[in-house]
Amino acid sequence: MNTQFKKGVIEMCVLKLVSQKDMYGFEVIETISKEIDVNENTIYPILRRLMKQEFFETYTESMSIGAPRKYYRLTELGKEQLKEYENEWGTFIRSVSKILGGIVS
Amino acid sequence: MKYDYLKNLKDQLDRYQMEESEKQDILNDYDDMYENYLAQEMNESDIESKLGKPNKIIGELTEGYRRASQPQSNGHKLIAVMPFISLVTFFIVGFVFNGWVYGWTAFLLIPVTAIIVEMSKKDKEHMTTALSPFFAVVTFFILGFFYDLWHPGWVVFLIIPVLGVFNSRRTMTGLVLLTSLSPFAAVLAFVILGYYDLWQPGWLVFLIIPFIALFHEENKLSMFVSQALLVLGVLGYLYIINTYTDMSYYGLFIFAPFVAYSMYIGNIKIVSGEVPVGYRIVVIATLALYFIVSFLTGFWAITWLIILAIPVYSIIREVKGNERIISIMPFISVTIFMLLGFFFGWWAFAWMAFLLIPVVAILKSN
Repeated sequence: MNTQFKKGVIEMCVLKLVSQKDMYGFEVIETISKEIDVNENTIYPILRRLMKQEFFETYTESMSIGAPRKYYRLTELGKEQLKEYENEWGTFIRSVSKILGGIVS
Repeated sequence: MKYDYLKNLKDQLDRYQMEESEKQDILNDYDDMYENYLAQEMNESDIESKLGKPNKIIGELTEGYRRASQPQSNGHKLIAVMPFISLVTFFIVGFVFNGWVYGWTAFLLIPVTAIIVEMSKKDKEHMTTALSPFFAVVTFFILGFFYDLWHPGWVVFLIIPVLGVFNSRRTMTGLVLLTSLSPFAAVLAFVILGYYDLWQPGWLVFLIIPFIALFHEENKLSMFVSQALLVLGVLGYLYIINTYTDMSYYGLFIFAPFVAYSMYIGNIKIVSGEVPVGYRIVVIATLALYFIVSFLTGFWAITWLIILAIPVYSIIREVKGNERIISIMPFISVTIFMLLGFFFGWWAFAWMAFLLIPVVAILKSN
């Protein structure tokens, strides 16, 4: 699969995952890499970029064992972006399905 | 190592105009991810492959940031001026001392400086291996030109594989290291004895190799018996050839008890399993090829190049990234230099092969 396309999809997946529950970085990476065949090392920079674009905010939570964890939480801007991505993705998937199913005349 | 990984990442981040707090944030995140993988009992090499090499991931981490202008380090300034220093030295040695024949060695300062500057930062362990070809070539020519000791002067080239093995000692136990070095010690001793026309029974020094290798034997009784039979074999052989001068071939039968016992206890795997299989194959195959080619061609002055396969293999295994080709380049250069000089007599300009080293070092350095 084209790398840029994959990165775009991962970006959307990261937003979606964190929208469901606040997650720490390693958790996001592990969750995505279990589902999608992707280099783990490409996920963190995406996470970081999304944070710089203010789609996430972070907070730390102390743990009973070990160092405190940095959690990512979706911001309002992030929610809007995710919604936009979902709409675009839905349209894209429907179009692709039509073509692959031979529905397009 | 986590420390090295984070240090490398920090070095990469420092090349960009980024807030210190942001760099620290990234480093903390990577520290955290590293720890998480360690907690999953993943080995450090796998972790670093999952996290990505700092020089590969830095592009995405610093997207939108400008590179900081970096002042040239003193080391790099030295690399830059070394060609001029070498050229001046070459002419001084040539015109003032009429030393054109050996003056070209001044140009070796260029790759030597590049290696010291580049490798002293990250790969100190293998630096002496990379420098050893230069030391060997210069020493070889000093021995040859000034003392006419081309033979056994070539033995100095053994320092290259010896350092290759020695500098990889971190991955070996003391005994494995001793076992790995024993063939070279034997060759050195054999050549020195041969120089005094003691080829026979000088070859017996090669038996030091199985003697040391036997220390790997887990069954101490078998080890003692094998070593005792070997020593008795040597003593018996010396007695036979000194007593009956024409019995040197028949005298070899005195080692039959040692060979038979070794077969009996299944000492076919005489080298410990601690030595990686790759090393064993490369060392054995290289030495075998070296002796076969040397005996068949008689080109002892050049066939030692085959032995360079051992340190080259060691570097390929141990050194990663750009440092690998930088470390291997001296061996390639020495090989080109020796082949052009030996077969075509182009010594006067074959030294230019050494210029490949700084060129590669500069092209490959980050």
